[in-house]
Amino acid sequence: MYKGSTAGNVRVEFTVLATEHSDYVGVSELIIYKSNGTRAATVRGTVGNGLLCDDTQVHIGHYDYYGVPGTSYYAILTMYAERDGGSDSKTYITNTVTAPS
Amino acid sequence: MPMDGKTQACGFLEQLSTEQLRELLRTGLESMEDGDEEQTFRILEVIEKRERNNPSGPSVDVGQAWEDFQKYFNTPDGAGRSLYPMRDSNLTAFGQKQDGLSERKQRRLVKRLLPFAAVVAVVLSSMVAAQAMGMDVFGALARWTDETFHFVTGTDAAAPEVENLRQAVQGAFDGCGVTIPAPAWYPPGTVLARDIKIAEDSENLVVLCEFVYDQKTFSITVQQYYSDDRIPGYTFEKDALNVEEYPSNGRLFYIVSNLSESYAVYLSEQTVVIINGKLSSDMLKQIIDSIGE
Repeated sequence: MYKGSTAGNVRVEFTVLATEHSDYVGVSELIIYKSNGTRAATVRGTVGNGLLCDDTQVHIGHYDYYGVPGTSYYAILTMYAERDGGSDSKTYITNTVTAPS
Repeated sequence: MPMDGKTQACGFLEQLSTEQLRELLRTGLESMEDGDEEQTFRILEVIEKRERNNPSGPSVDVGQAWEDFQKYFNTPDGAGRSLYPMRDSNLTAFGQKQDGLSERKQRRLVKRLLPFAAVVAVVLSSMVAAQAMGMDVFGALARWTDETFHFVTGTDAAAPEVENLRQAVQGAFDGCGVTIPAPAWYPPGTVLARDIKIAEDSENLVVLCEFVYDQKTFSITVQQYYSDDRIPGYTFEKDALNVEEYPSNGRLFYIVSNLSESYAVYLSEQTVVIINGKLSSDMLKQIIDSIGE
């Protein structure tokens, strides 16, 4: 999780490596929380929004969230890989970052 | 009365014309063979005697010659120096005893060694050129040297198939601006499982190399960040065994095990290296140690 380039902007960056070449690799769900635990946003991962990539083993991506300037946020990502109808996932909690004012 | 060798030689020389003596002198100096010095001096003596008795050259201004001698030869730095070749080969031009080889013998030794030195220079330059073209000449020499003592079987770091792997990985690294060198050692029988994958984002890229050996798989992943203000967070599942710190070539790797899988991770300001798969700890360390500085 990093400070963004504009007021209120925070960026979540991720790299997901699957153990095998897969049909889909990436982040299946991204939830952004304020530092007090209040859910700020929930994003479902798709190939269209860049959180998932198809026919790969590794995927790098990022997601920009535009919130309240000066507010601190963290994110919980669900890392995901799907192959031949089966899948595996792991969750990851980011650091906390204060959005630029 | 029997004549000694020296008298016989002088008699022979006196039968030759001055021009013939001068020609003999020229060829004698060029051949530089042993025993020619005495003959050279005899020839000079015969010529000198003839010149004294029957001068053939232009008349000499004695006064001018004396003035030139005082000016150019009779100087403090020329003190003790002879104007003529030494009869004693152990004396230097300054009349000092010289240890070891005489100057003439040194010149002869250099002339004999020159062809050998030229051959060595050509061989060395060819080896360097071959090495620059990608042939591991010096590695091949090392192998040849080992074979003179014992026969070596199996894969080592200089084997062609291993070098091909290294070059494939290095080529991917170079194309992506990865600053860490590719490993030069891989488990025996290792081949690339599939094409090297590259994933890229605005802030970083990932190079993923997957290998298979003896029906086991492992991978080498390098994540290269474009700036040093991105500190990545990585999470690896591990078993109860301790994390081992392994320094190598100025880098500190952390070796983690997770049941049958092992991970070796290195992190710098802009580079993350992950070696993971079904590898023994020794194999992991050999791969790590083969990454150059």
